[in-house]
Amino acid sequence: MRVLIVITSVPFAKDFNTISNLIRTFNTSGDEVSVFLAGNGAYYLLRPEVKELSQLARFLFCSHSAHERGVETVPSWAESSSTYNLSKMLPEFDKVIVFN
Amino acid sequence: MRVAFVIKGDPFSWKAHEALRQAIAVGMNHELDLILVRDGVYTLADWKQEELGINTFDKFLETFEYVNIRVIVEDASVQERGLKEKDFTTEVEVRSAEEISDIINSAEAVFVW
Repeated sequence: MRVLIVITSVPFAKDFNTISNLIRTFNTSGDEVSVFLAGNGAYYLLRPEVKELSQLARFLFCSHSAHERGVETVPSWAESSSTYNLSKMLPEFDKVIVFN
Repeated sequence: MRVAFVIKGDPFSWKAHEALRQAIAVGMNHELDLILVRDGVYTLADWKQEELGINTFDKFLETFEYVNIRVIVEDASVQERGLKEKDFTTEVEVRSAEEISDIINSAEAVFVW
């Protein structure tokens, strides 16, 4: 199964643990996970622990959201993208889960 | 692809702005139902946010006609808040909770805000 997780909430909200556990569980069961960071979700780029999750899922981020929030140094494990790309990607996934 | 965005929170936070921003992007490629329930119905009501120093949603509304977005408001939420169809800044469809439930059920992706 191909799963897309869209995150617009901040990385220090209650969602962080839920998302981490979800990614590990999907990965263990052989599902393919992509994560799209938009809005305040762009701050995930600054949280060190996310690097470990990037071994289990593909991470993309809305460059507009990141720039608006002053996130200029982007870790190598994240791919620059846009909400338009998010829109184009949607049909590729079996499940879309949104955290905001 | 049919996508549903459900805005249930009041428009005073960044979420409404982010929801509309993503709605425009999704509406470019898919059929999007933008569903406003509870305090979310205020999002596209004429609440004069510029007088509060908040950016208006005018630039989003201007693009609505170029993308596949249908704005739906829940009838009970509208009535409870004393709003009427003419109070909205864009064309809306007033629907019941049951109809909205069917719309969400038929969507292939649902974003809740």
